[in-house]
Amino acid sequence: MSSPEILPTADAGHAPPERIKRHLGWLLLYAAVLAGAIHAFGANRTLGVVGGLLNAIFLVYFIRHLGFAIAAARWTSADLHAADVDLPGYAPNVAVLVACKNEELVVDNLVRSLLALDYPSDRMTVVVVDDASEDTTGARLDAWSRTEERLRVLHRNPGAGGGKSGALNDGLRLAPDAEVAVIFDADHEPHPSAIRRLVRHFRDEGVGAVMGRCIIRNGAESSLAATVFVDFLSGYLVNEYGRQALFELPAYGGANCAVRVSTLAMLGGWNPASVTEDTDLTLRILLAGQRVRYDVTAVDYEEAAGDTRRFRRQRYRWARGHQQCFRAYWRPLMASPHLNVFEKLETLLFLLVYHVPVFCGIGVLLTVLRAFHIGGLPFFDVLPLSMLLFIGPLAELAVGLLQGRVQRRAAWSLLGFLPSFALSIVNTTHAYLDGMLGRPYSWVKTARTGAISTVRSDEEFVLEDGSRTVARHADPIAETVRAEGIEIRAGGVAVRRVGNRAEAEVTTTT
Amino acid sequence: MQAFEAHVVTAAVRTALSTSRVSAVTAPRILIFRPHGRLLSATVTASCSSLLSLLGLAALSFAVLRRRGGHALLGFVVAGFLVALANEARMAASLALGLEYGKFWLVAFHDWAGTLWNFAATLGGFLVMVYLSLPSAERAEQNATGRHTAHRPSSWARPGLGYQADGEEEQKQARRTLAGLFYRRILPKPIARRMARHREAGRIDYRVGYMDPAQRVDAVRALVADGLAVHTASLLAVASYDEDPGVLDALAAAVASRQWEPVVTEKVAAIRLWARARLQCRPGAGQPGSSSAAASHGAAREEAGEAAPAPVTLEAVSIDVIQEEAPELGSLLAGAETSATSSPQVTAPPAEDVPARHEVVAEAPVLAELYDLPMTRAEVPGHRASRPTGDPEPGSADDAVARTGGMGASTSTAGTPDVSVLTAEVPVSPPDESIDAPEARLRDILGTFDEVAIARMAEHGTVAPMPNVLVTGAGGPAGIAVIRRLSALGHPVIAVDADPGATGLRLAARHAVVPLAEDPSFPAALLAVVAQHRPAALICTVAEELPGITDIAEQLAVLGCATSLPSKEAVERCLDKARFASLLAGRRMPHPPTGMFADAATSIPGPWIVKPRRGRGSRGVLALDTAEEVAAVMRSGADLIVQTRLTGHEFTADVLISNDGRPLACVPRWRSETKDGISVKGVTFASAPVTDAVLRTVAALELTGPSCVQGFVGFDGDVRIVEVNPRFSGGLPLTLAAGADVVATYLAEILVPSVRVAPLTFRPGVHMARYLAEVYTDAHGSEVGDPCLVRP
Repeated sequence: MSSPEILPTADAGHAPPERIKRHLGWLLLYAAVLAGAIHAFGANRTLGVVGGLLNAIFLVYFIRHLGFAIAAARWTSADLHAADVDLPGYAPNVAVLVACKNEELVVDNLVRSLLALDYPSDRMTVVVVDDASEDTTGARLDAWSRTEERLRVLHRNPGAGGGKSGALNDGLRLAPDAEVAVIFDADHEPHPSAIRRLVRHFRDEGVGAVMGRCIIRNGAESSLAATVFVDFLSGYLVNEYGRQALFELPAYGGANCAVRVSTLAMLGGWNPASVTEDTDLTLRILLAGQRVRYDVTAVDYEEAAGDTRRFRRQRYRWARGHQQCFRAYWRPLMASPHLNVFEKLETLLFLLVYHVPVFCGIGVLLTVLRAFHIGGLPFFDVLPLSMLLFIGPLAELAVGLLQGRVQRRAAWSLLGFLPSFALSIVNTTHAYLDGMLGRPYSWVKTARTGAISTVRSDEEFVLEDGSRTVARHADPIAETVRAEGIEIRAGGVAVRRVGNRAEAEVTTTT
Repeated sequence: MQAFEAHVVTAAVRTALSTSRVSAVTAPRILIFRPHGRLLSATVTASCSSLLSLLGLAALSFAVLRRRGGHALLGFVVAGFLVALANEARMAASLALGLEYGKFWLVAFHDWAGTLWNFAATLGGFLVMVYLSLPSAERAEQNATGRHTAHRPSSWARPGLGYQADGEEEQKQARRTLAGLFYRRILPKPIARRMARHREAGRIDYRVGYMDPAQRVDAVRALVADGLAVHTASLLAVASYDEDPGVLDALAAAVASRQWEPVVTEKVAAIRLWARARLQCRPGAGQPGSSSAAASHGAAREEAGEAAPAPVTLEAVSIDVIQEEAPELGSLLAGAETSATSSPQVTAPPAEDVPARHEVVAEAPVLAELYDLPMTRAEVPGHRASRPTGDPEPGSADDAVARTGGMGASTSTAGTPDVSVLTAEVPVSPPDESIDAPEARLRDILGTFDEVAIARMAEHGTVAPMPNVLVTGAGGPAGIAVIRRLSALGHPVIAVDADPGATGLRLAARHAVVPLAEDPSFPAALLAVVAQHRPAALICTVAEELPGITDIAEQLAVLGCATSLPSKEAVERCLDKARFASLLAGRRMPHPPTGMFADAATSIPGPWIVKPRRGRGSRGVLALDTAEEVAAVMRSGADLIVQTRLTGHEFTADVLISNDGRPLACVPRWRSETKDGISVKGVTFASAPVTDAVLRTVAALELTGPSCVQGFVGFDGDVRIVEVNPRFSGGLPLTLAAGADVVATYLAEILVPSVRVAPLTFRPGVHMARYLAEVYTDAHGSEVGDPCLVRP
């Protein structure tokens, strides 16, 4: 861990894949130190010290969580309702970038949303990168690009490499005049005002990137999706907000965010060797002496992983990438002249976020051992472990619900975090061990369901029988209307009339 | 606390099990008398108590939920009770197990199962606390799955509170609740009202956003009338989200009228600050006449017999500014007075004729000065003291101006010996006693204003920016002249024209292309331009556009764009030349004989001129010399009229009529040379018969605003009017150069409809020779420098 293991290259778009590095030596060293301590001081004393150290770490995170919760409880609401100041007054050239791979279920809704963004058309270029999709994503994008001049589609060849980072780096080349790159994921549906709200922060030359707020739109799909909805509420309305309010150190999150193109060029683009290119970029921006900002009102809606398998894969990737970033950047960040002591402390805590569940696992293990009279009491035990582990996050979640003005029934959904906490311990520990052992891993996209995609209808058609139906204006799939029932066709998609205007919907027939 | 809890538990166990084998708490111990004489001594420790959990809940409730006020308190009380109850149950179960099965089970349950029990109880208590603190389904913004549930107008919607597809919004039904019944039926009225006020102060009333602008104006005034501290959140929401200028102006004015109210919360201070900023940016905003929505609403209210809100004076709405800027304003007024006093042309009505100050509260003094606007002297505070005493010398220039009511050629710079005679003979309407003569051109006042007062006010940030003005017909000479004049006055101009290549588009600060006036989409397109650029006023220089603009005048006003338009009937009388001729003939006014039929030439003296019944400029005009030719052309099927071709000297008079029908300017000029219907050489002149004929014609048409009247002075001296265009003329620059700033005056009439503007004077004998001028742009529309421009 002597130097960052991932260093972006000047030509990051064609950087080699991550050279997996093993850290087996460190694992063995940890084990040897533990064994030596047990041998020297006895198991009870040693485990008591370990338990005490863990309690101290948990206490620090407890205070951090509580600080964020209090900050958000006090200020978020006012920020959400604050009047905008000269929102249209600053409009640099923007490239909206989206990397798509096998996104046929959501890509139409995505493009519709992007084209509906409120931004001067002569200053916005939408670039959608079809990253060697094997489904109809490319064909759908081509259909859209025939009718929309603002849309540019880049088809990448299989094996182009770099995952999402590589696609974004390539896509940015199609908008050479862009001053700001705004990034969304394929399952996202940005609010029309999102771009204006994001780019307004670039008036400050010291800002390298801006993060917006993501909201789950398919919470009704499953109980897990509802849990993720609450998790995002807390994550964006409390945690991310608190990081900005207390430390001015929010994180760039990879979607619904904007980055200054000149900053990007200076840093060599998105890092194709990282599976969490967002965290990677956040840290490199901080190292470059610039700042990331967060706008709680720049909103887009995204799809949550609604089943356990997809959820686990997504969180595994986040954990793996985040831990990877910690190993790569903690030393240069601690030595950075651009951060003061408190900012370094917060950055360290941020980097260790995906290590905390590993510590929790160890803490639970020590507790169980104590039940069998193995291990002494922690030397540092200010608050019960359960309170340290749960109250902080639960306070954040509660404030998230409160600031989101969610109806009170949602309080019971907090129970869903208990199993997800257990899953997080297992998942994160798995990711940690894989990372330390150098097991190969590459960028894996999260599969979508497209279950919550609605047509935002604004055009009404009169059918042959005199009844009326509606379809999205300028939607290439709504070119003809032949009969009530199923029958608007183009590109393998049908609009099914199910009653009235509000109920019109798109169903895919591929 | 732990001893108290232990006491409760032991008492409960003894009662429940009807046994005395469990002792009361003695010091920190509980003695348990098991069968066969065995004794268990259980020590009461901190872990037996729920105190830590209760403290944790209290801290959380205070730190992160307290914004929910009573809800959070109720949540904590209920949760605390449940947690304490659960802990008592754990202790009781531990004692019961110890009593029955011995020490192992007591310890096992208390320490291990009991720990989980306690954790579950604390978590449950926390969830109950959160549950009671969160808003009910009726008041929430989104449901448990993130779907938008708020009944909130889209215009007020903030992004991010729930995912919402179109048409997905759920309608919430009001319901009867116990709390509602309690407030209405049980609580004493004063307490219920006090609590309601407190509740309302933090609640945004989303219902307001669904109303139309006029209703919102009403609602806003009603909310303010209840007190700024009562509906503060709703008022702030209107200030933050509402985009209708009329509503915002009404709110600002209403807030300004309640400055006596104590500033009891930060929100009240915020709404006061907002209103202050609003009124600084828009002097006179929110006062009667500042927007159609507010004005029409006020009228409706008066018709309904309701008491209208008290008019708001400038002193009331910007008292903070006045207090801060008093010395500067004083010097400003003193400067104006000095200038007015020193003017040689000042004539003033007797002091008793000056309207009282409260009668002119609708005017905006700052605006008046900025627009180079001669106005009723009562509008200028302190004017009474500055008026010169005594009448002007008989026979002097002042006297002449006074007798003409101020409208006519100025004698001070005429330079020709007969000018004064001509001026003296101009038969215009009798002097309006309520109006001062235009003592000095406002330019004089402006000079002082600009150099002294504006500089100081700008330093303090109190000068309002010059209003944006939208000018239509930017491709025509009239449009170009208006654009150039407004730009010279410092107004940012938004130019529109149907021709993307129109020169005027390149002379304005901003521009847009709209369809032709005949296109049905013209009004909508113009509205879109206004909605985008939000001009404060619109000046139309294309007569054919007037009916369409009149149709959307209310929408324009709602968007903050003031207009002053002639009636559609008056415009139609001008555009339809046959109808125009008929009207003038009916009034026995001088007009060339006109016919509409093929055989008209037999009854109308020749030579003739045939032109389209509804034509523009000189398009389609034919000069014919024989009746046969006339008959042939008239049979062509086109809608034509035929007139006697007049001989003599052709003239055009630029006329400006005030909103209330008073002539403000009549500047005749000879059309010495014309090219394509546009005067390229001309000279202003003063003539009583011409002015008389022109003004009578305009009066017959019931026109207001600008117009250009074309006619001939025959060799026999007769004046005949040929046509009237209800717009500025192409030769407008000559009128402006002659000193009659009809553009600024018309704009002032638009922006401050209630102001009484004094008539304008002009210099006869000013010659105009026009030449072509160029505007250069590159491929991207950026300006390219004029190589012939003389640079200082």
